[in-house]
Amino acid sequence: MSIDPTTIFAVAAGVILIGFVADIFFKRTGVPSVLFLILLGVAIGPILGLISQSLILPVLSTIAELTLIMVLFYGGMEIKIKTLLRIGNRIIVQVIIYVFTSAILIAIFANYVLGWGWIQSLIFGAILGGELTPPVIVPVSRGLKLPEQTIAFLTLESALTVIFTVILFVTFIGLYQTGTLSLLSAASLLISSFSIGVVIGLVLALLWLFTLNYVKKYKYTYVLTVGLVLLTYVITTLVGGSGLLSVLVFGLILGNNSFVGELIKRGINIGWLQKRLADFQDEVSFLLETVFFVFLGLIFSIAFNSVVLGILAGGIITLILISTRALASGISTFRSTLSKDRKIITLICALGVTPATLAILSISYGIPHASSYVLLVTYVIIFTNIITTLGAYFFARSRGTEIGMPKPLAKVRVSKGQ
Amino acid sequence: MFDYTEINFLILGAAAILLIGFIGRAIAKKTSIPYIVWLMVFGILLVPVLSLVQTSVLLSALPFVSVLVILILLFNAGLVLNIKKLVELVPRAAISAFVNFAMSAGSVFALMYFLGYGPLVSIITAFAVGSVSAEVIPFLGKGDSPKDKRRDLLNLESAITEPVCIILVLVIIGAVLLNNYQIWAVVPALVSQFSIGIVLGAALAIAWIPAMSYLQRNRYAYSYVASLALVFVLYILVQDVGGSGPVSALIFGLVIANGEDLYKTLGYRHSASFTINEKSKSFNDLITFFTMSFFFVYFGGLILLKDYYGFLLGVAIAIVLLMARLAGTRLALSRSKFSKDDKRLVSSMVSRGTAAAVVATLPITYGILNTGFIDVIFAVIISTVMITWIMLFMQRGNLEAQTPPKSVKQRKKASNIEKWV
Repeated sequence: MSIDPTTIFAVAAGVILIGFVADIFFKRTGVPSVLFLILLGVAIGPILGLISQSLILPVLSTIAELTLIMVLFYGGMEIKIKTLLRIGNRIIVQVIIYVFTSAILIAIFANYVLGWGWIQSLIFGAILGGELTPPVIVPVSRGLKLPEQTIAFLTLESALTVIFTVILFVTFIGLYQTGTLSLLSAASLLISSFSIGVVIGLVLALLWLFTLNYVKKYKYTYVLTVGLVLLTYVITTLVGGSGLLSVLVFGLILGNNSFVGELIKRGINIGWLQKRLADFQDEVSFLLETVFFVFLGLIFSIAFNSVVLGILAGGIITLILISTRALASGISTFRSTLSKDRKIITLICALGVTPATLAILSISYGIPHASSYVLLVTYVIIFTNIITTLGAYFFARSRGTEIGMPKPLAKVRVSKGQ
Repeated sequence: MFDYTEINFLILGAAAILLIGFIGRAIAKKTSIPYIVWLMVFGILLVPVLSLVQTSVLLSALPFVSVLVILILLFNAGLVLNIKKLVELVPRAAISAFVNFAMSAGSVFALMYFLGYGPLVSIITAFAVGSVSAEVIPFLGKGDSPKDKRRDLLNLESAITEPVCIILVLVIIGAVLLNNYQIWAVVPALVSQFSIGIVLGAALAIAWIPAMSYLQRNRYAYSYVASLALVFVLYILVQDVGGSGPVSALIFGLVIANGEDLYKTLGYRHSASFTINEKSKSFNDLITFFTMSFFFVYFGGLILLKDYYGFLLGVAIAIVLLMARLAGTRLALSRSKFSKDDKRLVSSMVSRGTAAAVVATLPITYGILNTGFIDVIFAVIISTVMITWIMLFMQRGNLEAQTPPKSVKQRKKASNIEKWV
């Protein structure tokens, strides 16, 4: 279906205006902009019928992927390599426990309560099991002014859960299509995706670092950097790795350019570029995140039966996710300085684009109950986003400090007491 | 089940390998001809000449032997490289290694292709003989004169290019095994294998370093065997999940050898040393001695001694390698502080050895080439060793002219680069 330029410009103008209004609304009332944007999406889509779902669904995954790329790149730039490596093993433990346990429990729920077959239940469990969405997680953790290692913990966790979720989904789809389950293939795919993401991300990041250091005197270097970010994603994805992880690694290397320069004994200094990138990134993220959350609201269903099923089943699944997350956070932060942030790590549990995309993909695979997947996934996404934003809000209030709520990157602030 | 005859035969074989390994090295010291040549000659005597063992028996063990030797070789290659010093101080050696490797491999590929061999055979041969061998370097003398930096340069060049040769041939074999020569099909598969090898090798090594330090600190008996045992476990694990086992062995060795620097760089505070101790290194040397002694005798046993054309081809390749070396050294050391004599000496070093022999067994293991390839590589090794030996003999005046160091400071300076490799 082709869309004429006027419609595209109208949508773009609408999105920018909505984002701007959300920002003002957020500052005046303290109600998180994420909720405002999702509710606005619900209003202009399912309630008023101004934009149909069929127009949104084809572009949702592209916008979502672009948002993930930019958020993870920027998130990576703000993390210190030393901090990340120090807590890397705990992050792996957290991801494994959270993703696998929640996926299995959700599958059991779907089988026994919703009455779906085991394979369909496992696919559903894989879709919802343990994903954390970087566009929410990264700005929320930064806005709360959490310790650097907690931010690093949540940022990398969100990047890894996306990979785990996708691979679990692919594994169970394979089981549905072929009737055989290969755990070794799943493990190989997981390790391969992770390894390629890290290695290619590292190699390209070093290459780009030298390139940027060389051309730093030229105009628009920061635009070139964004181009390189996208190129890193494309190359890594083409060779079968996790493009998102490679983008995160690129961000890490770029953000730690002085440390890397010292390590390889080469004079590298692109600190000024980081500042330009932060500003540029801020504008881009504002736009992408606004579009993303409005679109989430647009795919919501308000039919009565759907609402009852969505609230009940979606609520139970959200409870499963929160309980599993509490267990995983308890184990992974045991006897570490991270343990004092265990509660907020548990509460920051927002799901986002990956489950939505996978649920939509299930329809194209012809999986039975796939339409119910989309419905339940939308509710769980909204519930977990509400928990995240409210959790963050009350957490900040309990500390009596100035807080920031989920909002476009790097400009997160709300006055005390809101 | 083994009967007594077989057991006696195996015990005799083990004793023979140890003795031959020792005797080979002793003769090498007397003759200045590398021990690998003597070990291969023993192998020729035992199998093709005296027929004490059947070639078919040796060939049946080839898949196991090649994997074992490659694992130990690459693990050792990683253990002897000091990343920090390598990055910091020796760009010249890295450039020299790269230029010489590219020139050698490129020239041999061109020769093979010109002689009518297919691209696959040509490229495998080119990579197999791309690396200079460290075996002949001790015969440059043992002085600590500052002028002996040429010896250190060669050591480093060999340390860098030997694993590169093996890995590149594994890449080619990987592409052949995938049965797909389209770049978009091969590249992702190979990148995946190598990435898994690198990440799992590094991850296990990083986890192992503190444990190794604990075992060494508490002086647990035979703790030094654990690192080598882990290499084998790592190999199986990595291969099972679709990665490259040899690459993981190289990275594992590289990371545990540089554990102290690595943890320091990451700002990890620890009171104990995170460096692999001398006992572990000695054990590793012993295992390497045994494996390499066995391997070169075994390699000699695989030689057919009937393929005269193959032998002539090997000699031709050796001559091309000499010409490539002369041009490559001139190019790589063009603006260096090396004197004319030093450059001449460095460019004489064309000898091929361990990497070439190990790599020669790989295409046969995977059924890509026949055993005649062993004869070609054997001829290359013998010819290049002889060329080097003759050229060193012609420059003996230059070698003998080296003056002993005048001070302790000078001695330290001279031996610095050697410590890095």
